[in-house]
This record gives sequence, C-alpha cells and structure tokens, in this order.
Amino acid sequence: MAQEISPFAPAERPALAPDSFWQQMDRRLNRWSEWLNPILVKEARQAFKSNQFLITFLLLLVFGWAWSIIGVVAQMPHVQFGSGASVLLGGYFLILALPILLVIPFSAFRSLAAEREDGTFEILSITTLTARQIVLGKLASAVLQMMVYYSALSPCIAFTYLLRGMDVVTIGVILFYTFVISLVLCCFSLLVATLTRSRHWQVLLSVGLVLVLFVVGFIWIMSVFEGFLDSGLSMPVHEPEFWPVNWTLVTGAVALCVLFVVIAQGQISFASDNRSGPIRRVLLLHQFVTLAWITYWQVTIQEEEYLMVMFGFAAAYWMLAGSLLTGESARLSPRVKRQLPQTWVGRMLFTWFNPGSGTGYVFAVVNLLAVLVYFLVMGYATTVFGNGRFNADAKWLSFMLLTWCYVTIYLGISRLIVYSLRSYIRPNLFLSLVINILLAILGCAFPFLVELLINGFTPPEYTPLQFTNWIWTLVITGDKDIWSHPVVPILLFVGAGFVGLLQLLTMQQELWQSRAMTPLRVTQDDAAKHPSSHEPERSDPWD
Amino acid sequence: MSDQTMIELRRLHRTFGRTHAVNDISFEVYAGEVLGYIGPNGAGKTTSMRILSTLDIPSRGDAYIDGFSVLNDPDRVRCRLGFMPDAYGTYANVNCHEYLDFFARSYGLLGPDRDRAIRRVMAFTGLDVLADKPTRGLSKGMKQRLCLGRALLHDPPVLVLDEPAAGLDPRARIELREMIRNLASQGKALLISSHILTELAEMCDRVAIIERGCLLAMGTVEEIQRKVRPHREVVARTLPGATEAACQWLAGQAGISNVQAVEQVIRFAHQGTEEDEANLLREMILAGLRLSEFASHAISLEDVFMHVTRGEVQ
Repeated sequence: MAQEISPFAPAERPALAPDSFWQQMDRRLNRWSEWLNPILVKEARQAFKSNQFLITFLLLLVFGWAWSIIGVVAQMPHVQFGSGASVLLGGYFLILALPILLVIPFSAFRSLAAEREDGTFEILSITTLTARQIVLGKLASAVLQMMVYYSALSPCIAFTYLLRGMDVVTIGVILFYTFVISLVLCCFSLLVATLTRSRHWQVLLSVGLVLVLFVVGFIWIMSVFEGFLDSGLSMPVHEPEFWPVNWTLVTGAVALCVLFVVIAQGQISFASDNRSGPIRRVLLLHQFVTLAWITYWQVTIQEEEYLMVMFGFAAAYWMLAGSLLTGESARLSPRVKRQLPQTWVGRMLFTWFNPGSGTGYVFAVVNLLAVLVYFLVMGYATTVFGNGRFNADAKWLSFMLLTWCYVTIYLGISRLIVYSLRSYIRPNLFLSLVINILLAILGCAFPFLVELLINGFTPPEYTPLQFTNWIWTLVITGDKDIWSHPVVPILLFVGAGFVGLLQLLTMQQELWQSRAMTPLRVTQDDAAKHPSSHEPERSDPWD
Repeated sequence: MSDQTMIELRRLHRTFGRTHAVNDISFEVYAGEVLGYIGPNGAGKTTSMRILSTLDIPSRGDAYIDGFSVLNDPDRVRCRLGFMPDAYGTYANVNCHEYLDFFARSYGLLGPDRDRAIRRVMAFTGLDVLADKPTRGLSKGMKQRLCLGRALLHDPPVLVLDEPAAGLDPRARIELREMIRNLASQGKALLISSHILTELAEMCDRVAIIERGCLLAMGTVEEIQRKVRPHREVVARTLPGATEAACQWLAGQAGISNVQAVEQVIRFAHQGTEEDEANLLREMILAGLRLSEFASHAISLEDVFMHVTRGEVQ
C-alpha cells in the first residue's frame, strides 16, 4: 500500500472524457453542498441509504395510497358532493404524525447517542467542527427527513383539499404545528442524547424519551381530532386574536428550540469552553420575548389575575434555571478569562454571564426582580391608562414581592449548601437541582407537620410559623391579605436580604476574576492568518 | 529531524478518582521525529494521547502542539493534529470515499482542495481501489488504513497514533512502517504507541517508556540501554583447550565482569563502547588466545522494556 507518492503533492489533472448530464449535475450539486453543514451532508447520505428511512418512507406511501382508496370507497357514492375531507385528512394526519412526531425525533436522538456509543463522536469532535455545527447538522438532517415525508404525502393532502369540508388554512395550520412540535421534540431529543455517555443511562433515557414522544404525540393527535377533524371546525382566521396567538406559540417554540440546542451544544463542547455564558444569554432572550408577549396580552386582556399568574410562571422559570446555575463551578479556564471584560461598566454588566454559582444566583434573582419591576410599571400603567378592569392593589404587589423573596431565599440557601459541599465533593448541576427540590418540599412539609402534631392531627389554621411554607403563604397572599400576619412578610424581607448578603460574601472570587493575557503563540498565529489586521485598541466601555 | 518542538508535555497529570493515570510526565517531540511511546497496559499511554488530541483535559500541567495549549486553544491544536485512536468507529451506510469526504469537509477543505486531499490520501493508504466499499464491511487492516487516511486529510504537522499496528497482518505492518517513515521524512512529528516493540524499534528515533503514569526512561534505545545497563553482554568461543586460559585472562582485565564458561563458550559483561570492544578483541588475539567467534549482544527494545518496567498495573 505504501507508494512513493506524497499525499499532499499538487495533483496532476488527468484527461477526462466529456461529462454526461448527470455527472455535470452531480458536480454542480456537490459544489452547492460546500455551503451546507458537513454533518447534514453525511447524515443525509446515511439516512437516505438506511433501511429505517426506506421502510418508513415506503410504509408512508403505501398507507397513504391505501387510505386514499379505502377512504374514497367508504364514502361512495357521496364523495363528490359530501364533506368527506375531514375523514380523509384524519387518516393522512395519522399516517404522517407517526414518523414526524415519533420516528424522526427518536432518530435524531439515536443519531447523536450512537455517535457517542460507537466512538465516532470522538473523532468527530477533534475535527474543526464546532459543537454548534454538530448539533445543528443533526437537527437539519431531521428537518430534511420531515420535508421528505411531507412531500411524499403532499399529493394526498392536496387531494383532501379538493374534497369539501376542510379549508386550506386549517389544513396548513395543522401540518405547520405538527412540524413545529416535531422540531421542538427533535431539539429536546438531541439535548437528551448529550446528557450522558454511559450506555445504561442512555438506555434508560431512550425509554423515557419514547414515553415523552408518545405522550406529546398522543396529546397533539387527540387535540387535532377533537378540535378540528371530528368537529369539522375551521381555524378562526378572521378573529383578531388569531395571529397574535399563533405568533406567541411560534416564538415560544422557537425560543424553546434555541434553549435546547444551546444546552446540547454546551454539553458536548470542550471542557475549557464557556458553556454557561451562551445559555444565560438565551435565558435572557427568553425573558425579553416572554415579556414582550406578556405586555401585548396585558394590554389586550387587562385582567387582575393575569400578571400574578405570569409572575408565578416567571418565578418558577428562574427558580428552575437558578437551581441549575447555582450548581456551576466558578473555576474559569484561561481560555474563558481571555474574553472577560476589563472596564468597570463591562464588568458590572457582563460578570453575571461568567460561569459560577454566585454569578448564576445573582443572574436568576436579578432577572426575576427585573420582571417584578416591569410588572409593577406595567400594572400601574394599566391601572391609570387602562379600561378600568385592572387595579393594582396591595395584594397583587405583595404576591409578587413575597414570591421574589422566596426565590431569593430558597435559591440562596441551596447555593450555600452546594458551596460548602464543594470542599468535599464535586457537586454537579443535578445535585443542585435535587437540593433545591428537597428544600422546597421540606420548607412546606416541615412546618405543616409540626402544626399538625401540635393540633392533634386536625388541619391547622395559617400561622406565622408557616412562613417557610411558600405554597400556603402565597395562596393566602393571593386570596386574602398576608398583612394580617405582618411578621411573615417582614421575616421574608429580612430573610431575603440576609441570604442575599451571605451570597455576596461568598462570591468574591467570582467577582474578582480578571482577564488573562492572550499567549504570544496565539497572537503570532492570528497575525500570520490575518497579516493586515492588528490588535484593536480598546475603544468602548463594554470591552 | 529539525529542532522545532511540535509536541510538548509539561508536567502533565491526569487523575481519575484516586488513580493517577498520568503522573508528572514531561517530554518533547521534534519535527520529523518518530517517538515510540511504550508501556504496559494501563500505564497511561492512551490517556496522555487523548489529552494531546483534545479529547480529555489534564488535571494539572499542560500539553502543547506546535506551541498551542491543548487546554486553552483546542481549536488551533485540532487544525495541526491528526489522531488515530486505538478504537475507532465507522458509520453505517457510508462508503470509504464518503467517509473521507465527510471528514475533509469537517476539516474545512472545500472544492478542488478536498478532492485532491481525498485522492492523494486514498492513493497513499492504498484505499483507492476500495472507494465504493461500505466502511462497515472493511477488514480491520483496511479500517486502520481508513483511519490513518482520515488523520492525514488536513495535512497535519503532528500525528498521534495509538496502537496503529494492532491486529495487522505482517505485510500490512511492514507497509505501515514504511508509511510512518515516509511521513517523518516529510517533516511531521509522530508519537506512536504500540505493544509490538520490534516494530517500534525499527521505526522510532527515540522511545519513551512509561509505567503507572510515570515516565521511566526516554531517549534512543542505545541511550536508555547505557542508562539502565551500562555493560554489554559479549559471547566468545575458543578453540578446544583454550577456554580456561581465556577465562583467566578476561578475569584480570578492567571493565569485565561476570565471566562464565560453558564448554568452549565464554560469556562476560563488558563495560564500554563498541570501540572498547574492538580493542578488547585485538588484545585477546595479541595475548595469544585462540578465538573462533566473538560477538556482542546489542540490547533490544524488548530487553530495555523488560528491564525498565516492572509490569505493575494500577
């Protein structure tokens, strides 16, 4: 095999026969594929040659054509003038939903999980492909397969439209949301595939994932049948809320997809990379998108409970995100330190995007506080300028303030526990989440059981002893008036302040991280790659 | 071989719980040099190679490829490094050409550059005749060639090969050896681990021996031999009746020890260089000792390995 040929000597051009049309086409397509993600090209080649795709595609076609014949025959002789479109579309939808909602997301999971099991992921990760390219390539391959399945059934669906009983908007919306749900499921599946390398955990996760896919698929299929196909209802396209609702759902789905993809890419990126920063940026993006829609719906609805419920969701969101962020290690690699901001303004604004439990805590708590302040402004603005249905009162304000206090206290205590455990073990994000959940349960169960014992197992009345019981306290705050027990809010305010202060004392190391110098070899390499460019001087306050 | 350092391990440590897989290892490999990396199973060879290849991170210390830290500049390291792991997977429903095409794209090779790189690598590894064959249907030897081809696609100046000769038939091993020498002559730095020490001795400029994560010896085989066993074993055969006189003469010479005679064959340890050995032979003949054979045993890499290591595992 060893020939006296250097593998990297310039190639001689062999004399070629004139190309046929297909050879020319192949070369042209090959040239276009230069712009595509290499993973997509490889996955597409693999998928279209795989038995799984072949069988699924053939079954889809066979069932599609069989259902067309059965459906038409079953509706004879009224098929020409009756409204049989919903029956036929129901069949096609079922045939399409199985591969789109189950097979493709699971294939996306297997495609990444198998790379890690077979050892191909390692040789893939030492190429110049980034973690983002790997995840997006897998996702793009799943989308491509979806497109193929949709194309295969498109003649059947077009045939449905020719019959009476279904309008094109309803058909389009059903198919579009099936696609969106599948996209979210694919992103989720890719995230699940990155969670562990251990084979037995992969098996367990795959079982869990299949269950999730079945449940989501079942719910969506049932919703479509209940909402449209059985009832024969059409999409309320002329209602004023139609487009805002759809935009809210689509932006929510896209935001969710981005979060899953960013977490998945963080999971497979190199250990010295900043894995947390991009996730925090996406969390912030979620905050902005959600606040924008909440504002729109607040202006539209102007109901009192709306902002309280939304703040409850925001608190749950930041509690969950904060539980994971406070489990992070604060050790920054020199690689990450090269990117740290240097100016006072830059450090003040961007330190919270650095990995670390302390910065994670502040990031979560301050974001929830920002929601609170925004809701306050929005609530009072609605009271003043609104239609009179919304009135900002003490109950509404107390609910949001106490919810924020609970998040501050519970997150803070769990962070301190993880912080002290770090001297003995290496806690991970999962442990931090478990500690948070346990604390939240204990905080409610412990005082309740104590009072139950004191009262001889008769259901107790709410007393200040229940101040750690966040469920009961918040229900009381929302329903009645917590200020009849003034000690509770005072305790919570003082507690939040005290716990917050403790965090500041234990996060000094994270706050004093400073930028590391770029090594000379790296600077030389950059200069060699870009001879004309030079090191930009710091010119803005954000750097 | 130039004196440009292409691979550098600087006080490298890697621990897994209480196990010290790599314990304070430092060495350098220069451009155009082939360094054999040997040690018993579990010595830490694969761990240090995985760190060099940016598949793992050190617990302490750092490693550098062409001056770039594997820990802090993995993307720059990956452009300059070709790694052939000991266990490598192949993709289902992909043929050899598609496999190489995918990795060429992954290394950012586009258009004619990619075609040229694939064509040349296939010719170099002898895979051009198997371009359309599915990778899952290849024999072990062919898969190894494919993996080497993949590592060569982007023309890296550094190659790290973990057990490249394992499972190869004798012809493929000889061809692999030639290929490795050919790559070194192109100025590439190669770090190769193998258990087939005779092969390594023939293709490596220097060797590094590790055990239980520690670097025990490093240098050319002769240098290590001099360090670990400063004497050479010499065998001399005399004519009948001259053995006893020869033994007495040898026992009186400086630098000679452990003289043993079995019939007409005398074995002894001689401390000195090859030139000293030639002088000794001349003096024996001048002393009237009637010799029919005189040979010194050059120590093999296997001897060095067995002498340096204890076969301990962790």
